[in-house]
Amino acid sequence: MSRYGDYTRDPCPWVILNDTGGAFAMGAIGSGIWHFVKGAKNSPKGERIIGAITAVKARAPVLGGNFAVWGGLFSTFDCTLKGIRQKEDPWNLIASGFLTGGVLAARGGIGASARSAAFGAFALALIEGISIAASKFFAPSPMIQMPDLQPPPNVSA
Amino acid sequence: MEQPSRIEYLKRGALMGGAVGVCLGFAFGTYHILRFGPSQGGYLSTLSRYMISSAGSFALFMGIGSFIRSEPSKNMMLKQYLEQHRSHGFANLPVEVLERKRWDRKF
Repeated sequence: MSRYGDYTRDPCPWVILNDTGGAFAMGAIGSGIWHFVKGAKNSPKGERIIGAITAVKARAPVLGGNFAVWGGLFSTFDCTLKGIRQKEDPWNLIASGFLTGGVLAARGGIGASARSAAFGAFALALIEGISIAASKFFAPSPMIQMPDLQPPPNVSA
Repeated sequence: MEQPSRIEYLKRGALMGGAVGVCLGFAFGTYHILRFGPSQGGYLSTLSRYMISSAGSFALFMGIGSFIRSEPSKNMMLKQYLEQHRSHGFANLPVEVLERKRWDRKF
């Protein structure tokens, strides 16, 4: 999930499109699973499948769209901050989470916007912190794994 | 270098989503309890319900996210190609230049 220091991602303007689509797919699939179960549970017996499918059709694209807006705006802010600061570090992500939350809740007034911005920054800081910790935990630094030094062949013989 | 399989990515993403969800659920559950008071069942029950639901949803979404975004990208394949054909490079550029991000390219 961590985006910084990842060399397999697209260069910056294009990564916005990539992120928007990925976020839409993620939201739509996740919400599809969620609402399939929920719709089947809330339907009367005998109509569970059709109820589940109806719930998925009605609700999965909506959550996918919400995710896509969040991801696209987040990626846009991330690229903007990278371009302005000419640096890539976790603060970019935290600041863009803050800005995204603030902009998306701007219609609710300054209070709602500030709360949503704080939520975004906090969530992104948590995700970044945990992913840095996980990468340190799962993959120890390759500097440690030095190859064994072979003794030089004996040339005097 | 072999890529881990998609199921491995799914597991890793779900694990990380679960960790993030537990922390977020703890923070926001505490905030909610402090602000609105506990719902019926007491403090711990409200907090644990918050944490569990947040962990579950985060694990679901982050697992799916890392599952669908786990295919090796073109840059990765280019990098592997360059690693195999290190003596040639690509368009006479050294490998370090090609691997840099677009910002870092000053030319």
